[in-house]
Amino acid sequence: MTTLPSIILRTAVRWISPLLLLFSLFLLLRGHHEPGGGFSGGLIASTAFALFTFGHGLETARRILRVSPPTLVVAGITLALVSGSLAFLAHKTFLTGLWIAIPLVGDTRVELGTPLLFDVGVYLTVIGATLTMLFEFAKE
Amino acid sequence: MMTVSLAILGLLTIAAPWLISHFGRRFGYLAALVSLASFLWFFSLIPRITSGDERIEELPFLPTLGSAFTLRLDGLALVFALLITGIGTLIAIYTVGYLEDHPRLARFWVSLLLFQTAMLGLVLADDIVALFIFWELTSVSSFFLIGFADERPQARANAQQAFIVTAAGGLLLLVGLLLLAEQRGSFSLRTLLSAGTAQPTDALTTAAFLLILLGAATKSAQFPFHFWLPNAMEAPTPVSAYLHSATMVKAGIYLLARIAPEFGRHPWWQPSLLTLGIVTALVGAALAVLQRDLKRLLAYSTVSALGMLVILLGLGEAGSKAFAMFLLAHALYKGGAFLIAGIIEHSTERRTLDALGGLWCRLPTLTLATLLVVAAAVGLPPTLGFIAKEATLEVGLNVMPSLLFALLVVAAVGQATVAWLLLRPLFARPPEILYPHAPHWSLLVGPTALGLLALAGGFFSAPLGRIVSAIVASVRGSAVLVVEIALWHGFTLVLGTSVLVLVTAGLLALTWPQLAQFGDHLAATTPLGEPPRGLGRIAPERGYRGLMATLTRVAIMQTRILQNGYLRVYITIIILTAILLVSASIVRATFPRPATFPGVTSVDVVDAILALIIIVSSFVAVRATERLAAIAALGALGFSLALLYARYGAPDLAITQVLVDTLTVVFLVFAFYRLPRYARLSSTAARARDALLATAFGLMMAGFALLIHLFRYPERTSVFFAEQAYLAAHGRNVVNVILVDFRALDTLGEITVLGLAALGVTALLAIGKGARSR
Amino acid sequence: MELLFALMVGTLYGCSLYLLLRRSIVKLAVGLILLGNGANLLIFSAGGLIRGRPPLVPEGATTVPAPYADPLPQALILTAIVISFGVLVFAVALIYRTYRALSTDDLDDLTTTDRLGEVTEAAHRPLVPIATITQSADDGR
Repeated sequence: MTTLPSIILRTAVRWISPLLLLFSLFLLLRGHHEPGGGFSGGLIASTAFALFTFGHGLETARRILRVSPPTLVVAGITLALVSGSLAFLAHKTFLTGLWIAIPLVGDTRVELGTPLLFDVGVYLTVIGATLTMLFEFAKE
Repeated sequence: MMTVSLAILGLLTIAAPWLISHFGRRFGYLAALVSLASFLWFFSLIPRITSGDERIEELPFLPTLGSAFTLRLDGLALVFALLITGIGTLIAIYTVGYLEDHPRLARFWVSLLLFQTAMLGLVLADDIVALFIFWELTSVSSFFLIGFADERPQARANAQQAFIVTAAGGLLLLVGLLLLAEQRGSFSLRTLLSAGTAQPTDALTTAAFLLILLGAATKSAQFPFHFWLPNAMEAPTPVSAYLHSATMVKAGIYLLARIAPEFGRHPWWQPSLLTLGIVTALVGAALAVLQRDLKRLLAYSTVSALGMLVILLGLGEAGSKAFAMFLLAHALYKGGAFLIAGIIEHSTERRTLDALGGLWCRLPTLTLATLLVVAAAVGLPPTLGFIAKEATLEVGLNVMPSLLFALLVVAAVGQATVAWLLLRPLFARPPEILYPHAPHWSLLVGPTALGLLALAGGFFSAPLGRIVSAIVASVRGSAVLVVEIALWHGFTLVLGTSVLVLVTAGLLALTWPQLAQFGDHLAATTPLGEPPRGLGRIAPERGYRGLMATLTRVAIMQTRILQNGYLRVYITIIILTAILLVSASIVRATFPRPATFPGVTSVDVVDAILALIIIVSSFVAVRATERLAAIAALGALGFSLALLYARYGAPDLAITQVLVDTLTVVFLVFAFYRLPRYARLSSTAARARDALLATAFGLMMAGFALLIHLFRYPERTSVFFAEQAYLAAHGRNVVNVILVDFRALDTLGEITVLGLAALGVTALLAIGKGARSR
Repeated sequence: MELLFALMVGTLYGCSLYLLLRRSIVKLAVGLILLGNGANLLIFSAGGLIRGRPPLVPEGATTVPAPYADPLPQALILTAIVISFGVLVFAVALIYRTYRALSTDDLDDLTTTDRLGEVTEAAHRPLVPIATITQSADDGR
């Protein structure tokens, strides 16, 4: 990774990566109702960073990510655990889904539940794990 | 409340390391307070329980298996609970002076408190699953306590021995209990043990009885499993006093007493318990007086006393009263005796009898405490020890055949000799002048209190009678009958025997140096790493060591054969086994439907093309001579697979497969150029052989994949998921709902594995980094 | 179609086994990938093959209209795909380290851990932890 690839790749990556990240969030959020979810969202986000690493090098990719990938793994698993433990507050067993409906304008309302939080945990773990491995290999 | 007192002890166990880092050795006083509080609570229940009441607390636990965490307090459990918490209090105080600021104080306390919790749980448990768990937990904590001085190989070996013997017995016990539960359809001891009215003699009951007896025999150090107990003396002395004399070794006795109401009527009960007990009592007594080490001496005498308790249980209803009294008396005086041995060791740094003497003038307080304990231990009136001994001898004289009675008396002489020998460190002429340092007051509390209690037992015969009668009721499984206890029976044959025992024992104690020499000559125990000689050649412990050596040999042998280091051999063995088992099942299976598949032949063109790509790229990956070709084939394979998933109603899989495939190719490109060539290393013959095996395996799997369609289950879990996904879990994508809601626990496990894989990669690649920079 | 799926499953399993039996350490990794795909496909086809009916609850409905593809195997496979990816990367890292440490790609040269310890001793000691483990195991005996 010492010699950086062509300027075309770097420019393309600069535009594509944010779009991919945005798409990954979209996949994550719609996952409960349409195909998608934490796993595929996380993989898309990882691909975005993988491309970025190709184009701009390991150090830049790390800087852009801000947090270290293992931290993301820990955060993801913790978030999943927390989302499951929230059920204890409602005197339910671990990982029982809890839902609240937030009414928006008119008839529409947004349903929020602990399973969504759990999926975000999956999303973060997948990104963290993939990037940990990717960065380690890129270092070699 | 029982649950609460268990929970508090459990919490204290967990919090111990933190509290010890704050309080240091004074944590012992805190632990003593907690024990004392629960002792007082149990104490306050004496009137209720001894009047025939029972206390039952229930928490649901594994409800689907019909098991509940039930605690039950009756007379037997109450007495054990009092012993555990009461002696526990004294031991906690004693530990403050004994271990002082030992660097591993936290480890000691965690193990000891874990033991106390488990032991209390064991005697209170009514559910057999809970009973078993607590039973094994006491073995586990005992393991850590015996191996406390883990820098000594002997301590490690003995800890392992005690654990293997008692835990193996625990497993037998579990089998026995489960047999009973299976036969009688309950997990509750109460139900299990009050089920039969007819004499239980069927094979299953007998098997269950024998298994439970084996479990009890290992735990309570009955011959031929007794050897672990003297070896357990590697543990710090508070542990020896608490676990290995007063409480844990009595767990087996407790269990036998617990099952006595039901199995006492079994025709094998009396012969097996009497044989076991008498042999143990004699072996223990004989070996005890031959020891030089103060703690081993006491340990063998404990073995003998445990044998005595088994004898008394074996005598059935007749022995129950003596059993109750002997149980109480022994816990008090033997616990006290161990504590005194510990003080002597602590003050003089000596533990062998011949190195000690003349301590009475330098340690007057210790001398007083010792006199109290010895009085109870040899059975001088008016102590509890005297009453217990009288009761035991009386039962023996009345109901035992005269030969057995004679053997019982011999065992009693041995135990009394050991008790007399406790006086040697005080009054014998010392081989050199000793300058013991005075024991801290916390050390003296324990033995003094135990000695006083044993003394008081003789004076307060009315409350003692109530407690004894409650135990008797539990052992007999009958209502509480008032038992009269009298200190003085007049000049009877029993009293005569008692005096005879005392005097003989005293004379034997005086000739102890000769006995010890004889003991050295016999060499009944073999130190670790030395060849056995004398009696050691026929000692049961040799059987244990032989068994362990054989185990190691077999392990090494099977490792050489099965784990020979050649990966392909492992894989071949696994695959051959799989082919054999699966083919056998396919051949033997009866198919619910005729072997025609609707739509087997209806092949879509697009599907066929995708399948062709997959098949071809698999072969390309196998045949490729270049790494890049193999990677390209894998890419094509993955994308075709994704398309197939998409076509067959699995969009989520398609997305994931495409993404993973992309990332896989990225990784392989990253890694493969740093990896070796894609070489052909095997010979042609090896390749042909492997190709044959692979073909067979592939054909079998293909057949399996086809035949699977003949088995479709009408009630599928999936139907529930599909119906409830939106209604119960607010999601329209059923697959996602399964992942994050219905089976979220699985997903949690899976993301953890993913995280661990990442951690593993980091570790693997970082190791090399560190090495290179060095 | 079931027949075609069975053929694919058989091919994937057979090819993966052949690769796993090779002495070349790199082929092991390729074999692992094929094995993962084969297993996934087997589970997928075992759940029943229904074309073009994903298990999604349509807008306005409360349950999935039958017939639909079985969602349970899909959930299983979805995580299996991601996990086998993680395991594959781990295996590749392991292979890479082994190759660096022992300078061999022949699995038959990796027969015992003891020998691994010796070889590492010679080759700039990159696998110290493994050597330490064997050492302490000897002490315990």
